[in-house]
Amino acid sequence: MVAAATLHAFSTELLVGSMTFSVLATMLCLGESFMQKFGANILRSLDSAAYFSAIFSLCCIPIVALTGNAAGDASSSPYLVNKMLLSGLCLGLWIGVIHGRYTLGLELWQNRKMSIFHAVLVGLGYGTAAMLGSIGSLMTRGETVGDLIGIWPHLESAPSLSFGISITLALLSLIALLVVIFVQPKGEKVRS
Amino acid sequence: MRRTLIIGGLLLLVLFVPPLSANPGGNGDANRDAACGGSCHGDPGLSEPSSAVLSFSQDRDSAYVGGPISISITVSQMELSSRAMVGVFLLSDTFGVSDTPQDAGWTILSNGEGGSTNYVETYVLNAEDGATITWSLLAPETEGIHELFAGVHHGGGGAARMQTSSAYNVTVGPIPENLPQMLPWEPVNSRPLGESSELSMPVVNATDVTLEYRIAEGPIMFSTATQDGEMWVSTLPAALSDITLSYRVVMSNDEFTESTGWIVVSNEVDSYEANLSAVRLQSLALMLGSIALCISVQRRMSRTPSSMLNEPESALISADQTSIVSVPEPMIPQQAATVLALDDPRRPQGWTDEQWLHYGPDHLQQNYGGGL
Repeated sequence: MVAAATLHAFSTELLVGSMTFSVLATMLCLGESFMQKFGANILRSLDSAAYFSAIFSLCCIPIVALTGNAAGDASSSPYLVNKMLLSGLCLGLWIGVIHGRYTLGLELWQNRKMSIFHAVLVGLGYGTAAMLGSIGSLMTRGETVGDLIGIWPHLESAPSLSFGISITLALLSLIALLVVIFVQPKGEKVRS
Repeated sequence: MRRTLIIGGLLLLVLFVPPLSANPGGNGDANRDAACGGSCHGDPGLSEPSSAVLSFSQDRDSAYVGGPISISITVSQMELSSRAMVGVFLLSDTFGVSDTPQDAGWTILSNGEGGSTNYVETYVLNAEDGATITWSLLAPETEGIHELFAGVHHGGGGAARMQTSSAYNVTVGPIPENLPQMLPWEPVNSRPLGESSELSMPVVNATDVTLEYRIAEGPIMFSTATQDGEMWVSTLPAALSDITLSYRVVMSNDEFTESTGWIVVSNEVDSYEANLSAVRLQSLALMLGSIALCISVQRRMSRTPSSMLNEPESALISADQTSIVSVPEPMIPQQAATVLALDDPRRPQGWTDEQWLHYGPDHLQQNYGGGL
């Protein structure tokens, strides 16, 4: 049988690979939307590549989180606690990426503000995933290329919030999401 | 339906990941029988032979009944995993059960790593040099030749490995008349940082008892113990940082000077303990919060003035920015109701917002080939 740690490494590689592909395609889309050098067909292809690899990445995130959970005891390591927290953030940001592309459609690249926001969101999601990988590398190899970046956060300590505060935060976030979904006026697909 | 089945199947596969592994990160120091780890390190399907060489040494030629002796086991030339971790056993037999030194009447004062267990895990930097573990013991209460065994568990080359030594004989003789002697005693092996320790030592036949201590292999310092009834009392100074402090008891009278082996004191550092339920909730809060933020910003940005026109109270700022023009719903052409970005790069230079919203890119495409 395969150990949980091996499955975790396998699923992480799938996730990071597809996410990198998605980020690269998204950045090319952004560049094309500004410079308009290659034409609509190329833009459409890049957008599809970014979109579907983002969907694949989203599918991988829960599997990575589950296998990671099975591979180590998070209660005894602040690194693993930070990984759990960042996993939630990464999942949320990536859902936001896919929601944005699904809601706004291909034509989001014709709106400068929306396309920049979308690219920033993709970058944030990818940065969170890179930070997750960096923590994993610190735990298994004792070092990370993130150390080369001066401002890379050091995650040796984790926040310690009580169960009561945690459940309050979760409820507030849920209420915020419900308000956004059911009260805020819906956006529309950008049409050419 | 098929998609649900595939996803469900994948999740089930994840849930059925077996908890068994060879514990490459170790299991921690403890009192363990030789059979410990046999399911992995001794399983022919999972393990391979070890090339480790095990050797014994002791700090004196022989021990006497109940007397101190230090036994060292050196493990070398073993295969090493990437973690370079080895687990070393001191055993009194190799039956697999009830074969710790304590089972044979030995008392472990120290395992050299800040505990009093017969199994110690340590890291090996170089397989040629190996690792040496020294146990400080009190001999059994019976005279004769007592056998001890060494065992090692380690990984390397992708397999779990184990090795057991042949018997090592320790001669336990009678107690010389008037020999200073430590009675059965539980020494201090660990303590919190910054706290000194008062040691009460049950020593008999001694006229002078000294507590010697040192940091790592540094110079030996001492403090004299005072007699309090049947006990000798001395104080071990506090450690202010995470140092390796060891001590031994030197007992003497007019005829003999006797000492225990070095006893290593570990520092109790507060261990990290997180409430996993709270952490999961925080992770959920982060996820829901970030989704809410993303969707909210996306909805706000995608609501162009044209979509706002559909709202009864909405108003459109005119192109010259000097007046606000209310646009009643029936006046809006169907095409203008679609969402058009005002900063669309296809918008011709000089067109007002109303022109752009009214004609749009379709008009340009049909009449001017996409641009003016």
